[in-house]
Amino acid sequence: MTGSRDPSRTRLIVCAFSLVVAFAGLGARAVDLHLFPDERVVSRKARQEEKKLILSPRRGALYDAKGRVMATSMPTPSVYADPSRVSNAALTAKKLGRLLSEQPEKLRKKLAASDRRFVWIARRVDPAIGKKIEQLKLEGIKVSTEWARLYPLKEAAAQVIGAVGDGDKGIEGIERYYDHLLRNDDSVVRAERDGRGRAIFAREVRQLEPEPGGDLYLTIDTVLQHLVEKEISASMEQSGSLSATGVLMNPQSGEVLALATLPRVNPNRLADTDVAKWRNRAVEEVFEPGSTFKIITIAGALESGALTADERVLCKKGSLRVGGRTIVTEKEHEWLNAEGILKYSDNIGAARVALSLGKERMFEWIKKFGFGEKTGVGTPSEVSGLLSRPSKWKDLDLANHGYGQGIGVTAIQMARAVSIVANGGRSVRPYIVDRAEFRDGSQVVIRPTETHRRVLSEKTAARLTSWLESVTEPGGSGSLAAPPSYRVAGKTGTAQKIDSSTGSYSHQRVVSSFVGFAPVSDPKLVFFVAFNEPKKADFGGMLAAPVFRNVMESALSYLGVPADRVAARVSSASVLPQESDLEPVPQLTGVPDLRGLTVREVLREARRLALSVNVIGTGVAVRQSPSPGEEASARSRLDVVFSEESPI
Amino acid sequence: MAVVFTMAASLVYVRGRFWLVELSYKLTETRQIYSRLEQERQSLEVELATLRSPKRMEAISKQRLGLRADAAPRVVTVQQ
Repeated sequence: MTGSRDPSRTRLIVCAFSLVVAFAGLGARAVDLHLFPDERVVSRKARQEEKKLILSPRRGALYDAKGRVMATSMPTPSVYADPSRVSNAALTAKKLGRLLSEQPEKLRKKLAASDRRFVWIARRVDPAIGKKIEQLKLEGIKVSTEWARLYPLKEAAAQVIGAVGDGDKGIEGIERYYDHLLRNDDSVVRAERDGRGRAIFAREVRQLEPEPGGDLYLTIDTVLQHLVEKEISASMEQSGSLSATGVLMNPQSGEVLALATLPRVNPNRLADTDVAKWRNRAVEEVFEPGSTFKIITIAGALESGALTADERVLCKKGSLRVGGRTIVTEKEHEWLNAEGILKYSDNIGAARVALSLGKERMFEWIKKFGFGEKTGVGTPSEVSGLLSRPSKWKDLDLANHGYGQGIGVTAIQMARAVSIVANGGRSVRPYIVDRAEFRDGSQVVIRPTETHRRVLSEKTAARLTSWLESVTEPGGSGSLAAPPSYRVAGKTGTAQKIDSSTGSYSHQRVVSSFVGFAPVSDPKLVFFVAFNEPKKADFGGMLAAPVFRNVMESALSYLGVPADRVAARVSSASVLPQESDLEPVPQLTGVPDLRGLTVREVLREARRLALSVNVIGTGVAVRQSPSPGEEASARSRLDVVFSEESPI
Repeated sequence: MAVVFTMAASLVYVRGRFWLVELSYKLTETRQIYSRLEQERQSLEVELATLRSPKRMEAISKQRLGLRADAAPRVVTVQQ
């Protein structure tokens, strides 16, 4: 059968053939690309298909010794612009200005820089404002997320913690010193993307959350920090001092529990703060210690045999001529032993002890107590103080060193030196960061692990403790340092400062300080406090000693340390009633039978009946005087004997 | 037979690929929820730290509750 071919059928065949050829060609090319990949094609495919995400990890947080947050990071919106894509700069600036509380003109200038592709409009803004700006969908305006560092305790320990600058980098304090542990590098994650540009995380799923930096656990206790700052701040204001410093540490371990520098700064307002106020004065400021340094002079002389405990030193009634100069003090003691030199803070006595010790040995003991070198407490910019070689000393320098003039120390060095006496003679290294903890559970231990070197014999340490306790007793130069409940030991200091205009010591410009420890029976805390250039009450015993008393009393109570002052054990304790607390007073007809009751129960009963109780022993009450039923007036005193073994 | 097998294998592969993409979207969504919750947790942590700051607590205790500082020791050793 012949006939003309259907033209539509022919076209269909041609089309089908063409399609088969085309698909065959594509298939062949696909096979070719799979088997023999072309690098240019592969890289182009990767560019089109892959999405690169830069993930900034969270900076590690700072916690205090009890796990309270001191610093943390929060994702916060930041607004930026691509001026080349902003069509109406004036209108955009007006809309943004309203939300950001900024001058529209200032913003307009930024947006008008059409030659630039990127300009920050506002960084780390309130999340609600960031959201509103996003919702406006302004041309050329974008909102990204940046980490913002927050310090919830504001000024507390600000100079210790420090601050973070742009790029999430620590610029001051612990934030700077431990930046390498706190901060982790940005990580890049590659993901496939769909037609709308959304990421498809088929690979590298584990890397979706970047590894945050380590969290640091400090030895600072924020309650103690607040206590120290509050007490120092009040006295600084009253005395009109330029600045003040306080260091509270554990003399047994070297843990720094509070480190205060005043005036204070707020790390949340970095831009508004005077740079000079950021100095951590406790480790960066050098001052002449004055009489507090007599502890080191006497300790060195005792330990090296240059002075015996009972030996009397001629104090020349307040005047001593050394190297052609006369050292004069207001004290007029003829003879004093070591205890007397400390108790009455006699400069002539201390100078004579230093002279008997000699330059080399004095230098050696100053070094043994850790002066002239950094403590390694773990903050940036720590200084080692000022200590010249003994070969450069004249006799006058040696005598001056004896009572803490002519030498430069830091507050943390003084606290460490006195810790040696407090803990029975061992050197400890102060530290402020205990450890870093990471998300994977690993830890970096920062606390010192070295064994404590012995500096003083236990006997010398005990003697010094006893003598320093006498300083705080009535008649001593530091009697205002003694709290009612704890036995304390310490030393006052009032050091003259060099007047830069005359080059000699000024009588008006001084550093008033006190350093000591408590409780004497088992020292738990060492506290050093210094006021720079007070205008009023400039003697250490008048200004710094009361601060020491208040801090020690409250801090030891907060730590649950038992009182060790005998007189305070019951009569001054808060467990006993105050007159004003006890209204109305019950009228007693006879003393109740307290036998068989515990100490707590007896005290509760006594409080109810307005009786003053003298507690003798522990356990349960076995005897009492007056006896049960005997007549006693309200507020009369009752002796109760307790025993661990019940007589019943 | 071979064609059927190839087609079935292709379908399984394509279905698997769809499933993978679906899971990826869910993962992204979960990640966003996690980020938001984490942000909320951090925000609450900061708020808690601010509210419990010793300075604030002391101010409230004194001014609002009329309490006073008591530095007397909590532990009293009774003499034997």
